[in-house]
Amino acid sequence: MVGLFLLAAALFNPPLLGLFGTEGRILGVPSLYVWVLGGWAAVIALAALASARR
Amino acid sequence: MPTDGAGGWGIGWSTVLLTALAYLSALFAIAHWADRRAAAGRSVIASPTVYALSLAVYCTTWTFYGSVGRAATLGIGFLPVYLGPTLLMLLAPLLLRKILRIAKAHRITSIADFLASRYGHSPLLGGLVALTATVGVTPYIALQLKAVAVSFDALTGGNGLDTLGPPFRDHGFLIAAVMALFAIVFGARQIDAAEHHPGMVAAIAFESLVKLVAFLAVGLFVVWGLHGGLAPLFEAAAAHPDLARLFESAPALGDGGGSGGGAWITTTLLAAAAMLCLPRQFQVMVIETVDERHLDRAVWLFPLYLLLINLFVLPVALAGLLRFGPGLDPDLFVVALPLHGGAAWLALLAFLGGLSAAAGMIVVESVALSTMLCNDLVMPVLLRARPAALARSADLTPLLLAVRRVAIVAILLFGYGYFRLAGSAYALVSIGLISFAAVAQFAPALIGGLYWRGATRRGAIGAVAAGTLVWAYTLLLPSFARSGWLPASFIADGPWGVAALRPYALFGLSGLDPLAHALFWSALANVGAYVALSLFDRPDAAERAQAAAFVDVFVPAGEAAGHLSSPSAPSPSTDWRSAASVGDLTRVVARFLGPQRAEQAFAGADPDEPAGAERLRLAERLLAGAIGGASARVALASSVSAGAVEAAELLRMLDETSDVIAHSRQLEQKTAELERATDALRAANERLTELDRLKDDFLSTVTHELRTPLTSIRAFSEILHDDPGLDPDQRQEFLAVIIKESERLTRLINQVLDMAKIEAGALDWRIEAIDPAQALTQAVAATEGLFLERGIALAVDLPDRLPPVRGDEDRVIQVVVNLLSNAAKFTPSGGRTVLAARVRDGALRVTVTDTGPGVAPKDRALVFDRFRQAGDPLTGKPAGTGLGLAISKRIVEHLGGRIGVESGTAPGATFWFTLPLVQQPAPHGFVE
Repeated sequence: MVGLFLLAAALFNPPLLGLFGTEGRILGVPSLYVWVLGGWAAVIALAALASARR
Repeated sequence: MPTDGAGGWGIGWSTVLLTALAYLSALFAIAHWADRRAAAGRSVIASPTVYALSLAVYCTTWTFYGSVGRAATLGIGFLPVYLGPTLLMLLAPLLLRKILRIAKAHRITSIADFLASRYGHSPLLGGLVALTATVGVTPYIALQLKAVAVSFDALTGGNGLDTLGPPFRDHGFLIAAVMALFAIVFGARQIDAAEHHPGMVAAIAFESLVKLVAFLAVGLFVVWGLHGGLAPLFEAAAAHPDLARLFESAPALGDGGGSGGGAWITTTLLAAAAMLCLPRQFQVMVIETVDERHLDRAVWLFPLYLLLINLFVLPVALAGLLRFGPGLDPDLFVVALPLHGGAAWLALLAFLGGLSAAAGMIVVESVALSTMLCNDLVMPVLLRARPAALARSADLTPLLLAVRRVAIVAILLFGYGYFRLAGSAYALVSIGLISFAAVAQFAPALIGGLYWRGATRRGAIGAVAAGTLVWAYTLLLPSFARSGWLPASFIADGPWGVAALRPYALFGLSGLDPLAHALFWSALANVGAYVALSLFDRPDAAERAQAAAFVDVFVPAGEAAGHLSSPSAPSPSTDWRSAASVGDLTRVVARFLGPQRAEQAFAGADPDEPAGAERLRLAERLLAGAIGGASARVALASSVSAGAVEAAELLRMLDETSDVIAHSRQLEQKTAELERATDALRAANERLTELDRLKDDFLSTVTHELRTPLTSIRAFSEILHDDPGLDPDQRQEFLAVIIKESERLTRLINQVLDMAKIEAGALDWRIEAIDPAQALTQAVAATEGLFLERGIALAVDLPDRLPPVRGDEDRVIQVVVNLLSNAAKFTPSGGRTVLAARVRDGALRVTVTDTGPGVAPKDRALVFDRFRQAGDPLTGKPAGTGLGLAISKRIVEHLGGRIGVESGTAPGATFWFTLPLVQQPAPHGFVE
């Protein structure tokens, strides 16, 4: 869980966010939007997995 | 019907009002039903899903309407407010579990109570926290009232604040009144020692569902109903340069200037701290928890909720900007878009969603704040100021409830007043994050108190006070100035024109946005005061005991608080028996919790009996559940019958009791360690005694074995010596006996030495891959003569190819020789012995089968022991040294194999042993 926390903290903060803050679309949706919401969903899925294991 | 930019298809205001009232009545019904279920012992809130949904009280109208507004200017900049709590939930197994455990153990009633209890039951700290929270959060309640009022107007076609009616007759007041009623009915109906409100929590969880469904419905309608999908919507938005700008990270990460994502990180941090420290979050997350394990699901379900409710925020914002342009407040898009799109029922649903968001926040926040104000501000003051008056009253429960109800009404009036006064001023619009920053001042003392034993009361008070002062100066006062209540020069030039004191650029620190700037300075003051004061402080025994109880909450200990129902519980000191009586305590507890609870707690004890420290603790815990830790102590002190014990003395006793408990816990740990050491010593002693006995046995057996051949050698030598005229044949025969017995002696001594070496681990092993066929052949060659001499047939049955095994060749030969010579000894002349080898189950199995007398079942396990041998059945004399099989067993086991004997009813026995094949993984303990 702590690992997941660090991963999420890195994922959702400026240096990595800046990478996607540019032009470009994925299926017509801005890449930044896809990146943040997709990353968020992935973190939630991992947290669910981790807490099911406990 | 008046019209405005939202489209002008208003819904009749009576319809909206009736729907809203019907919905609020439904909430009352749900809460009532949940309370009844809980009373019947089938609580609906005993579910992890309901727990996670109740956490979603985090999402207020600020989420429901405000996120769209933020997205309309900041792009994805609205998200940190939800990413922060997500990150915090990931830490839940570490942080929240500890808080939950402590809150349960100490009957914590609010975050103010938590901090006060941690820092030595400090009433000052509790009061400070309660006050800060109230000042910081009440404007946030005003924001909810405003959001409902404005969305109501948007729905009915009115125009926001322009239609604001006379005071106390507008819908803001109506909402506040209904909410106050709800909070009083379900949040302050009775004084419960556990401070649980199942009805309120169930209603909150239901509201969370409604607001989620409403927002998702609006989102789906806007994206697919109005724009035909996500891609066309984004396509249309990209055509406008100022909308396309929202796709990028620049607006979200700061103003593109030197702040470098400062706003983003600040907001994330603040939101995480608020999730922990907002009174309403602490209430639903910690106080209302019925089962610690519910966290496991909330860890992912609550972030999932946040994700879902934010899914359509940006699309809705873009759609609203495309449709209405800058003419309409983006905060209203959620209601205005469906209304404009012709889906009036959806707009109504959206309004109910917003109403849910507001109602949930207002109810929980006011209940949490009122508990805090009552337990940590009003009661301590009353108890100190009017102890005599309170002491005359037999039952204070009505007073407590009255205080809480008045507090709820006062908080909502305060919120309403702020709403009327501030209107659309900046101070209200930006209050969400300003509130977050206020409660974030509790975070260092809260988290530090969980892990740092050295943190002290003065440190915590200093931290909260310093942080709050800086917060007020850098955020609250400037927000007043921006609203026009203070001169604008306050921000631009600093007070009295002192530039260094400009609230947005304190001491010349510029380049940060106001929030990040305030967070930096307040965190610096807060943490600085906390650490510095704590380090230079000398806490007293009571404070140290509380610190240890919080930090070490997971350290297993004997019953920390003591089991109090047994009157014979030992009292730490006899002096205390003469203090308060059981009757005194019963009266105090009855006063705050009602006579029933008091009877229950002290049943079976004589009222005149001295209470003793244990019962004092029980009374303190019970009272703490109702009126908070700090008040509980004062109440106890003021209540004991005059003359029996001084109040100060009683407080000292309580402190020392906690101290004694902390000490006795340490003692218990030490005693347990000592016991473990004693057990280990006893076991070692037993083993030594056993070894000693074995050694004695061994010595006596060896001596016996040595004496037998020595006796015969000596007897024959004496005959030879004394009788020179012995005939040569006989002399030859005697000499042969002597030689044979000497050989036996030598063999015996060699084997004893081997045995000793093996047991001492001093034998040199050369373990490597060996060819078993070669070892077996050599062993056969060494014993062939023996079989020939005794007239026994020896057959060798080996497959053509045997895989290599791991072993020490010399030792393997020794084992086979032992078994073969054993067989030779016991097989009668004319018998037959077979040596065979087969690969079985990943090991090589070697068998030696003879046609001797066999081994009786009772002896089979024993033949491998030292000096155990089946005597020669004919003479009764032992035929071997008795060590051969014991040595073989040790060799085989050292090589990782097994050894045994099988013997059927037919004559004969089969001795077998196994050796591991090379490709098998080496057995444990066998690799040198």
